[in-house]
Amino acid sequence: MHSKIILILLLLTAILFAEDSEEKIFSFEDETYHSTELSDLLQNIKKNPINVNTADKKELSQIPWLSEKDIQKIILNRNSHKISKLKDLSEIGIDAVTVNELKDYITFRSAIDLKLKQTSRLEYHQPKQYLPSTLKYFQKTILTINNLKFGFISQKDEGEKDPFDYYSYFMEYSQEKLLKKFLLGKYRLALGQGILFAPKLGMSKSGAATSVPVKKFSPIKPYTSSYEIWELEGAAANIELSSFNFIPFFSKTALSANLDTLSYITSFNESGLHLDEEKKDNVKEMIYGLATKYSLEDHSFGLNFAKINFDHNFENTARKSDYSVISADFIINKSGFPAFGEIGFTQDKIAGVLGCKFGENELRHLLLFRYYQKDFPTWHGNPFSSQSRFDNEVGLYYGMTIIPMERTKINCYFDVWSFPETRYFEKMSTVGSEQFIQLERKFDTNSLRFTIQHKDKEKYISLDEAKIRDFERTVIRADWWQNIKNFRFKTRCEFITEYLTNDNIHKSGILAYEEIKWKIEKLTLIGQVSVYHSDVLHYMYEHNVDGIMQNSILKGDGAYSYFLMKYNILQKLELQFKVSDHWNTKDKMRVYLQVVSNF
Amino acid sequence: MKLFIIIFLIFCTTLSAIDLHLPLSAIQNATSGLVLIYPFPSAASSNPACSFAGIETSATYLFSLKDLPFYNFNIHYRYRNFGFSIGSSFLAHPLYKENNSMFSLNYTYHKFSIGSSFRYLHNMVKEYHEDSALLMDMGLLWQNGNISTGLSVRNVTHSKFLEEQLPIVYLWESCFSITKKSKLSVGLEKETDFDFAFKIAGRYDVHKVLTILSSYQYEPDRIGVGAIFNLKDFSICYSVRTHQYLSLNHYISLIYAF
Repeated sequence: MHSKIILILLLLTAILFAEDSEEKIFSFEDETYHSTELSDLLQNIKKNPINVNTADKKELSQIPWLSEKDIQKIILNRNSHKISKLKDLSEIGIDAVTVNELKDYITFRSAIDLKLKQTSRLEYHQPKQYLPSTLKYFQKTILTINNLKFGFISQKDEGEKDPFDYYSYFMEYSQEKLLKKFLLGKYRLALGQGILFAPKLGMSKSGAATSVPVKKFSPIKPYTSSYEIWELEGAAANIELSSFNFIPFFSKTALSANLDTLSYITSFNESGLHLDEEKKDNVKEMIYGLATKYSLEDHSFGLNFAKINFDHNFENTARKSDYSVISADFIINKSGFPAFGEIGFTQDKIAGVLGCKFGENELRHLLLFRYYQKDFPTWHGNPFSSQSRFDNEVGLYYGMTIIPMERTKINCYFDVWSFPETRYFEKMSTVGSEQFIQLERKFDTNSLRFTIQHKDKEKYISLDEAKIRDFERTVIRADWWQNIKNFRFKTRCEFITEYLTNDNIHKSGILAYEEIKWKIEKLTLIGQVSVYHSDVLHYMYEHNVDGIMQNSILKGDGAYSYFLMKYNILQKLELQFKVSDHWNTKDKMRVYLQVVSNF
Repeated sequence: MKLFIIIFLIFCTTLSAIDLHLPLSAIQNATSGLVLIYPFPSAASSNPACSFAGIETSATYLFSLKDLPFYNFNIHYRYRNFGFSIGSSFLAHPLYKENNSMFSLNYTYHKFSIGSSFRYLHNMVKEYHEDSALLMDMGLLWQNGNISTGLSVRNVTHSKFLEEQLPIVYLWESCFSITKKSKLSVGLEKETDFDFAFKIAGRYDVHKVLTILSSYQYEPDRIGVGAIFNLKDFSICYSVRTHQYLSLNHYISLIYAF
């Protein structure tokens, strides 16, 4: 315990002396790690560009390429001169690379009072024996009338009979002062670094080694995701009084859980598939609480409280069905993002994250320490972690971004962690580590990226074996982009090895693909062909219709391809179509048809 | 039993049983053993070509175990192109004691330095063995613009202890000045019978009174973090370094620069 306190003090001391550092995400082209939330955000901004002449600081900060300094420049300059074109942004001192990235996400015109966005998606999977239906349907309607926003989202998964098997609805009211936001219906919460509440699908580790592990979300948002879990249902508000924000929230919702014979909760169904109607919405959850935030120009401090109640007990007696949880978070920003943290308590359990950024643009560092006690309730939280659940973990992450010369960037991170108590079927504590190095070089029409990732974990191989074994996985990947007029070619070659040291078992695989993107004014075509020969799993990101982020999982001997088309039939109406198939595997074809209108 | 486990872990995951090659300074602890990124008097113990005039004393409880205090004292003095260093480190436990006394000498010509050190190693495990050995280390250091590179070999004499070969450790390190405030150092360490250990360390001068050091070492995996507070000629460094199985390794050093 002493050691942790001293480490925290050390980092805090460093923060106090930290000098200005500027945060700027270099690119979002790493296609291995993706966030649905981030994708949704970017897609939303693309469809509803932010007006640089009227947007406040928080709205502008949603654009990931804009640094704090860039935002300050915009706010300072737009008062004297209206910004009416991209060139104006260059003239106020925003660099050309950033301006180029911004063009799809900003507008200079006045906000429209009435907007209607409608997305309808039909997804067809090749028939499978165990599924009565192979159609998946999703629709999202969002109507904006001045300060009011109404939304309705519904989804039917393959195999489900009810066309409204899942639905989300909301009414949002927002204004500049006092009652900044009021939400009725389904919503999501994101507080501090995500120990209590956070979107589950946010980025974790990635090529943006000194940016991505920091959680930066707006505290309340309507639930517009098609993921049928983790949403809250009720009401939430964001009330601003001077430098204070008060966020009261209430939620009463139903969850799909697996229950044992005594009706105790063993686990939750996180797939969203409800093939068994009896298991659907069989557990009720009630949450209420209050988040408070004190914000200064560059710093903020938050105190969050929530009371959570399930109407069933948990099979794991260490987990309570009725508990209160409290957390405190902070961001200390000296014109950048040097320090952040959150610590949460519930009953006798503690969970904490503490991070610190330092360095200059040419060499930036991020240190992040996390400590989560076993059985800390994790259902709605998602702070930085090496695993999908974040309890029972102690770890230290060290990320570095080096820009040794213009157009060249090196990102690396190193993460060491231990699970101090047993997990799942493990019989003793285990440890793990991960190393990642990525070199990126941009030329006028070409970009190259070389990535090495290595994971070293101790784990059990099977339930029957009592031994803990050393497991190593190494990924070596080379990417090459070429931009030729309206075409963009991407070539990837990936080699993966897995090695069980104790048994000298060695597996490996290779994957190569070529992707061609052709974009003219109203039409975008993307095609990709992948070939693979592998004993291990390859996770390959692929482009999709808006709103879906997809990783294909490839293994064995084969070929895989997809074709995606996006066509603006009218100015406000876009048709999106995708077909994908595994060439020598049956029942794997998928077809997507999506219509997006934005009036 | 506890002592046996501790020593077993230390030996298995770092270096061999005798001549533990432990960090002598909080700075070395923060940088995972890299010595070019921040000058300190004890650096000559790792690479005898390093020369930074001053007095340094360091203390730690290895892996936060109060049974295992470890101390180091070092003086380095420069006269014209020559540098002289004497130092001693001491691992004190009633059952296990190790003392390493060192004298080093280096010579600098333009941007090139060469150095050598002589070490007297004494090790005692109560009711098991007690012996000593004399070792010699060599080091080279050269600067090319913003890059300084060092190479050191410990135990070039292939000295033995109780008829067993003591570890021979090769450390190559290059340090890059990225900006006036930032430095990056990378290194490779190889010890006989062990894998290569890759090391990378960063330095950021936050303020004239504060420097932050951070590092990572692969095989075995370690992350080190340290802060140096400079008060005129005095510096205080505090650092921690992880160990996957044991507790954090805390170090504190006090340096007076001549």
